[in-house]
Amino acid sequence: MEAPAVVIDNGTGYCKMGYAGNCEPNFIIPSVIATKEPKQARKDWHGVEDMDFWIGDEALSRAGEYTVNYPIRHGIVENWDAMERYWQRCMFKYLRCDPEEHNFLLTEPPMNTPENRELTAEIMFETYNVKGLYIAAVLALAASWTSKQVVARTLTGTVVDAGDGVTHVIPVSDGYVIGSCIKHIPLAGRDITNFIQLLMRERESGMPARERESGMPADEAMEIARREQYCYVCPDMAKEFKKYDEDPRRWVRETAGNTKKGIAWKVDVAYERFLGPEIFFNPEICNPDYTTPLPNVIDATIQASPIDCRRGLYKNVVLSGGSTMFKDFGRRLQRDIKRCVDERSRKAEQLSNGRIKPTPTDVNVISHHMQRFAVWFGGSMLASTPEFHNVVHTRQQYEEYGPSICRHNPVFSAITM
Amino acid sequence: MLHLEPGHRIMAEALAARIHAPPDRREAVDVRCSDFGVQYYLCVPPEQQNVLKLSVWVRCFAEVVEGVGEAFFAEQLYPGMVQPPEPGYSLTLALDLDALPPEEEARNELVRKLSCVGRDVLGAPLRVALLALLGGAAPPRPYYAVHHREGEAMYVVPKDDVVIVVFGIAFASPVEAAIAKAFLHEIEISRRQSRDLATAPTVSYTHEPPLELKQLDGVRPLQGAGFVGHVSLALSKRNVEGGRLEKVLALVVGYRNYLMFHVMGAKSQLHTRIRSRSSNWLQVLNRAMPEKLDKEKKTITGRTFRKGP
Repeated sequence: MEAPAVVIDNGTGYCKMGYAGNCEPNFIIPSVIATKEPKQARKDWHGVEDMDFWIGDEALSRAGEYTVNYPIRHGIVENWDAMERYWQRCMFKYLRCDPEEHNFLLTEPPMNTPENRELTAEIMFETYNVKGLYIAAVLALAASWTSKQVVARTLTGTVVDAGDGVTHVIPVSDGYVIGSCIKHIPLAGRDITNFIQLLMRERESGMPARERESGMPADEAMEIARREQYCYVCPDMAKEFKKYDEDPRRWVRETAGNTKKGIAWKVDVAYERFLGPEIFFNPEICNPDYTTPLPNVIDATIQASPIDCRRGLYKNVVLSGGSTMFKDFGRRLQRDIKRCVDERSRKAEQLSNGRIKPTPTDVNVISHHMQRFAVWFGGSMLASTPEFHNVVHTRQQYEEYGPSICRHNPVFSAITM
Repeated sequence: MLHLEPGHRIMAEALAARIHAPPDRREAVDVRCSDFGVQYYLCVPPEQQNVLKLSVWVRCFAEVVEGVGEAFFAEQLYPGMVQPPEPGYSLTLALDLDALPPEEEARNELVRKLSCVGRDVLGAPLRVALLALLGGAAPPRPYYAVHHREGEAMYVVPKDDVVIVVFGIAFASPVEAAIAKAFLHEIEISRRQSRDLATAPTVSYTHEPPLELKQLDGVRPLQGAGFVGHVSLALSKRNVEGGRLEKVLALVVGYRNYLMFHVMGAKSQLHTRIRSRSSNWLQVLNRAMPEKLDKEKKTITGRTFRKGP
């Protein structure tokens, strides 16, 4: 029986891993490794000091005793020694796979360097003797094919990836990332959380103090859950305020819980419900330094892209990442982008005194169920197609040509049919 | 940190979620995973949410069944659970979620048991042999062979007072084979010299098959590229007594994986050292770059020094 491929998505904050063919990652653990600084010189080691480390939640819970560090910064691997060990535990402790029998699909951030791909290939083939390796880039687009809104499976589109630390807008044409046009926005999940907490602290007296002694404790996870449970995107901020003031009982939600020390607390969540996600559309409300709304950034990104793919990019705006999970996020985004586009064509018409009538542009924002792990899910989907075997770099190829084979990972062609 | 768990975490989590769920909050599920060459498939079909099916595929299942008998799984290990196997799998266990024991502890035990199916299938011959040893019965068969990996095997040779397990071990990559050899030598020596290990099973590491194997008919000697040698463990009654059977099974059956885990760990450590050494050398090289002598040097005020004629 053929062993399923292993799909690992190493993100800055969390690492998603699992076997291809499953619909969600088998493990989602923080990308953290806890190591011990060896006290003696290496020649005095007696046993297995090099195996004395932990990853994920097990690392965070031992933060006092060990040195905790994040091997990935801004999506790019910084510490290869730590990463090699991180993968070791992923394979043996979490997934329990025999790497010699499985193909591996790893994901990479946009703008990853070919050198990093080579280093990854070196570790995977030299240390773990993996059967095959493929490093994939535009998986979020593939994940969107599960949505009912999608008519044709295409690899052209704009990916809006809002994770915990940073939001990227990535234009992709036929599976190739248009690197020069990628835009980053310094607003993401963590900013929403901080903003909501700030608002609530000003109003409510019963808010528990932040418990942040050890990296990312459990109350952060609770915060995220609350964020997605209560928050939604409103069509118009002013009207929404009015709605709340007229009938607060209908809109205000109560939330309660216990602090880590066991003290109970209870607060009301009111305007925060729509103000949190609103920072994507009106960033000035939380950050005076950054004031371009997300729809305008997307519009600018597409306008900067080559002219022949712009319509395709507008037609297929795909959401990915946990911070895009708010109710009606896609609908609002679509409306606002449409407004930017229509405004431009109106101006063009006006400037030409009515001689040019631009064909209206389709704007489609696609939301789907797999948004949260879109990248991982896309990987799982691709790795379970038979086509995957043709594109994966095998061990024989590696031994023949060396790590340079992984510099380029061909985009699947047959899957777009 | 050093040990691998006997069961599979993915399976344990998925099983626990189904087994502990109240009847009105059941969900269909479809999880596939792999456990060092054993493949699991857990399924609760959406149209029949009270039946949980766990299928496993094991490379040498036919050999195991031939050794321990068809009835062993159906009657002794998983009474009332064995079903005709799903297409492509070796063994399928079905569990009626409506007829589970109500106690929390019994359910946890069930989760533990089912998450270790891979180990229990591969370790079935060893379990039979050890049970015979514990019960003082005569050895049921002269030997059992389990070819759990390509080019490798585990032989279980039950004797009157001891069960001998022989692993034929091979590593495809020459580097790994070398590290594994060093490891196995070290294990043999530590076992002999360390006083803490006086009660541990005796270990011997030889390239040639040990005598126990040579005496048997029908055992083909393992050879081939990357063959590292034979490791034999002699498990006496004392090692297994007192409820330690499960632990012994997990450790012995997982021995090959444990070895691989540590060989890979050793390689990681070597790579770390190579990386730090090469960056040190690069530093040295950069420092040793000769200064350009003909360049005119200036002081902060802009005057130049000129060395004597």
